[in-house]
Amino acid sequence: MPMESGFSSFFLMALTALAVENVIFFRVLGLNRQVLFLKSPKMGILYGGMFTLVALLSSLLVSLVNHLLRDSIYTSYLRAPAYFICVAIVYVAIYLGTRAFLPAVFEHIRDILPVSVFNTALFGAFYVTAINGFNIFQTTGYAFGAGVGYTLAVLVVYFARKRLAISPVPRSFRGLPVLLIYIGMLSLALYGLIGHGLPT
Amino acid sequence: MRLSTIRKYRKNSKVRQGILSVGRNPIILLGVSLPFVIATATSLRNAAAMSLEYVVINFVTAVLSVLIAGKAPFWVRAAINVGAATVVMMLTRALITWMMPDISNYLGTYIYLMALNGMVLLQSEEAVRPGPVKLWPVMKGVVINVAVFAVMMLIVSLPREYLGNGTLWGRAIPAPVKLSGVQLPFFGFISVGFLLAFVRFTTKKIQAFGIVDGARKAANERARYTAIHVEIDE
Repeated sequence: MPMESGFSSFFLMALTALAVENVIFFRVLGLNRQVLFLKSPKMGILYGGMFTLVALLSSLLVSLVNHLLRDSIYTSYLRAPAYFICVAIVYVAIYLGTRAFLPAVFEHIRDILPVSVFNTALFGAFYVTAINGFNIFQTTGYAFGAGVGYTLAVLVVYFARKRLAISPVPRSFRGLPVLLIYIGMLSLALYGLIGHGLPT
Repeated sequence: MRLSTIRKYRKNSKVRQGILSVGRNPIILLGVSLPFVIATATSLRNAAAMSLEYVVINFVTAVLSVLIAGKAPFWVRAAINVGAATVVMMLTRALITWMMPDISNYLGTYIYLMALNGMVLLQSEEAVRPGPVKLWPVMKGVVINVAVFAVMMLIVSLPREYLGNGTLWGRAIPAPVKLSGVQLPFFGFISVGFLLAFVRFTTKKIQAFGIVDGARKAANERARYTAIHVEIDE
């Protein structure tokens, strides 16, 4: 595949994953308690940054796995453990590497690394690449876009929670219930903005 | 105060505490595993399949968490738990696909992603608390967690399937209106938000009733004891 079309595939898939198929708003993935109760925007950027880095590095191994399993009759059984092994390799490498060579960085990421790695959004993005038969450029582009889109969505959820905390909300709805309703409204708005229509 | 009254109050209090523990569940309080309720609770069959998978995965990972508690750092425990959950997920998926052959068409990738539900990582974290980790309290917690998850799946999926498809468990049921949009994620977010608010409202009412009821009973007992004491003195 020519390099120019490879790069254009990369950016096209990145944009698709970031906006059109955002993992939080459209696929409801990666919405864990760390995202719902994020302490600061800086933590959100760190969390999303770790997710993006792991997604980008793992996608290289995952695209190899997708290529090897493409014509196998045991694909549905081997894919999940193979993805786990790919992500685990990157996870251990990042953990041990930062601990050994970047101790200052390691102190910041030590607690959030397991949660940002073993995340439904990460594995969900890989399954999408497998189902659609993406090549290596498309897989890495989709993973990168999913990571950036996830980071932005995490920050949107954080600022939404802050805004809702100072709004006059009925007692029973305060906190998580009104936040979920807000995300639902946002999901509907983005769904229409992208150009989808409600199914008839 | 009479011993029988104390025993009766304690028994009622335990029932009340049991109901209140639902409101203090990590699924209700922290939103753990809620994405699966929001995204996949679009039909009763989906709800049954995901609940079964959730039960099996969480029981196995809970036992594993207790076994490896204190024997490895958190980052290793998390990886081991997720790895074990992945293996169990594959076996459970095979069972579910055998029971409901077409279910994979409706659940898509979510049937695979259940191996990464939030409870798996939470169980790894729970094991870091000081002191020995006992199996029975962990199992009791898992039973409550899976019961809450299954009930939430049922409550959210029933109207979504009825209004969205005009079916219940795949069987056509006449519906007054068909709103296909309820099958989309946005409706899942909104319905789960309202459900959590209702649970919170209900548990607060039960708690307030418990406090008021307990205070009323204690006041009645004190008044009765005082009256008896006054009679004896007289």
